[in-house]
Amino acid sequence: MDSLIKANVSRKLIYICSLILFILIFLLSVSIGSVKISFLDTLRIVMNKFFAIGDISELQSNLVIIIEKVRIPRVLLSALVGAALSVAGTAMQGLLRNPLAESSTLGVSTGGALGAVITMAIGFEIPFFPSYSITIMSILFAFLTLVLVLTLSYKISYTLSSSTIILTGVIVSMFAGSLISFIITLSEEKLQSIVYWTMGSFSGRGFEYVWLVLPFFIIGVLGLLRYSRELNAFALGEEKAGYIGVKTKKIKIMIMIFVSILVGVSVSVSGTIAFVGLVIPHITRMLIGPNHKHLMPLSLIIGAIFLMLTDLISRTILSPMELPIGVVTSLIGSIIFINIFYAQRQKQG
Amino acid sequence: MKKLLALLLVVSMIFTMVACEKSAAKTEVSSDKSDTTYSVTDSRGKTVTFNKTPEKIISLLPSDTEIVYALGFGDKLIAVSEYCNYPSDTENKKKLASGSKTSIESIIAEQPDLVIFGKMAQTEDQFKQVEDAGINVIVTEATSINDTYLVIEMLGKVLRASEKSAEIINGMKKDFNDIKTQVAGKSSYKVYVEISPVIHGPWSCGKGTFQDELLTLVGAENIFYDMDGWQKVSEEQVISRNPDYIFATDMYSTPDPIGEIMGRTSWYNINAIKNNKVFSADADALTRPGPRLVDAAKELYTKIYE
Repeated sequence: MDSLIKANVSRKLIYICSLILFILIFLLSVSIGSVKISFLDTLRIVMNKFFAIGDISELQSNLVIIIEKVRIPRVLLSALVGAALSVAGTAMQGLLRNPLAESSTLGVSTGGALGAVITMAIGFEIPFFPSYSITIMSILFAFLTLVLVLTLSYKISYTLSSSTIILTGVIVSMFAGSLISFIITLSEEKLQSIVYWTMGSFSGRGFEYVWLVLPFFIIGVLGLLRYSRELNAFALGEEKAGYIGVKTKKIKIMIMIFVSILVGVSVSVSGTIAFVGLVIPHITRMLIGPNHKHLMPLSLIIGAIFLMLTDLISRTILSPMELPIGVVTSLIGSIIFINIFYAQRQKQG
Repeated sequence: MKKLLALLLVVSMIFTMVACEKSAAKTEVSSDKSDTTYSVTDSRGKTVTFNKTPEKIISLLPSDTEIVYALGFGDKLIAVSEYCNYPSDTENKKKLASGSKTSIESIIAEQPDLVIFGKMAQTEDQFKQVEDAGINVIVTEATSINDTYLVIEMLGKVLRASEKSAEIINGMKKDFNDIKTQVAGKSSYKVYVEISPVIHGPWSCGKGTFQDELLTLVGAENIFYDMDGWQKVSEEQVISRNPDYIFATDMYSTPDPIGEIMGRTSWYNINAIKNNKVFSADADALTRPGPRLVDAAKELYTKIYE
């Protein structure tokens, strides 16, 4: 009993600390940019714009515009994408009982990117929702890729061993990647915009992108959070989960749909950003343990913090040049990937 | 008597020397007209030797193509790059891929006696492959108006049309000077040239680009004067530097580049947007180091001051 209360208290502390960190990193990211604006002025503008507190009329109007219309949407968007990819990664790892599973190792990101590239190259528009065309196609392709990878893995080895899934994911990802290169070679004039987009970046993203992501984000996150109990059951193994009354097939498909929504929408606004969904669940698990009821909400916050910070690094480290954010996440992520893989093998062998 | 003889000897010696010099000068003049060897140093610093004036030329850089036409040798071009679209006669020429897509085989198959490459878009290996096939290669590079004069002069030498090239260069210099005098005393405006739109990460031009040089020439101030070459810039810098004029050179990404710029959510407070001073600029004239740089300067001048 005593230890339970203790666990509860420390859990609360972790939530509070991570929320405070989230706010601090948000303010820091908004205050740093190529135009120098002091942290205090940034704070005043943010307080005024979010809570209508204080008077900022004497501040230069261009500075207010830069904070409000350029930096805040960009930072918010990176937070949303970081949160989406992390919670999707957590769900995939839980569902497949595979610590290496995430959108990029399963080929879902590249699959989603393929959908987006096809849409851009042929200028395809979905009737009634033309502005959502790229996003919806990207979600659809992400889902199809996920289904393809899992079906193939089942066919190859029924037990769905961890390395079979990852190997299949990587192969499918390479296949989708080669199709993307093929399309890029064919579509000359749009080449520049597609290449730029595939590198992954939040540059030049205004509030319209935040509004585009938000509905999909809410649906995907709420959808996944509902299944935290079932995800815990899956940790026992699919068969045992079935014994305790979990409708495994239906739930598996629902989780895959929500994961595809989150990954697809992220890919459609910022290109493929690899390894976030791999690294964040692991860090979060170290902090709060394997219970999905807490693992998923906390991975949202930590994921958001992580990507805001990575974006800050990618746009300041070589200032005034900007590094594609995918470069930074892949650099950090691949090292952590090797570490997890190695540790896992040591344990087994 | 002896003295007289010596004097005669000296006089005759002087005469023969003068005669010799005269005949030497004569042969040099004739070598400039007839088909004997001559050599030209290109932008690589390589000296290329010609046995006769090139008759079948391939130019893979749009600006070089424009210069060859301006020199009056358009009819000697047997093929040009896919991007060569000026003057209109280029439509009738065979088009070859350039840059990373260059096909050396198709160049050799055309059996040219001269291939003109741009240094920036091509590789050393490509030059060597063409040279190994026994074809003369001239490589050009120009990142300033002055470089452009040098390239025009170089191609003039290659085509044995030095008089014509000097005429073109002097014409350009005069036109630029005319613009400078017109501009003198007028107030200076801040200008932002958008090479690539915000959605791809905005690119602009700094020091050491023709765009910057031309802006300075027409008395305008490039807002990214402190940057080197062509680079990605941040949107917030554009907002904070607040240009009076915006020139967009990208024509491909959106059907309506001006409207796209005018409609950017965070740009409404920029002077150029408020005063409706956003223009599209002829990207080809503004980016090709050839005789049309003058047209680009005139275009900038007209849009800013008229």
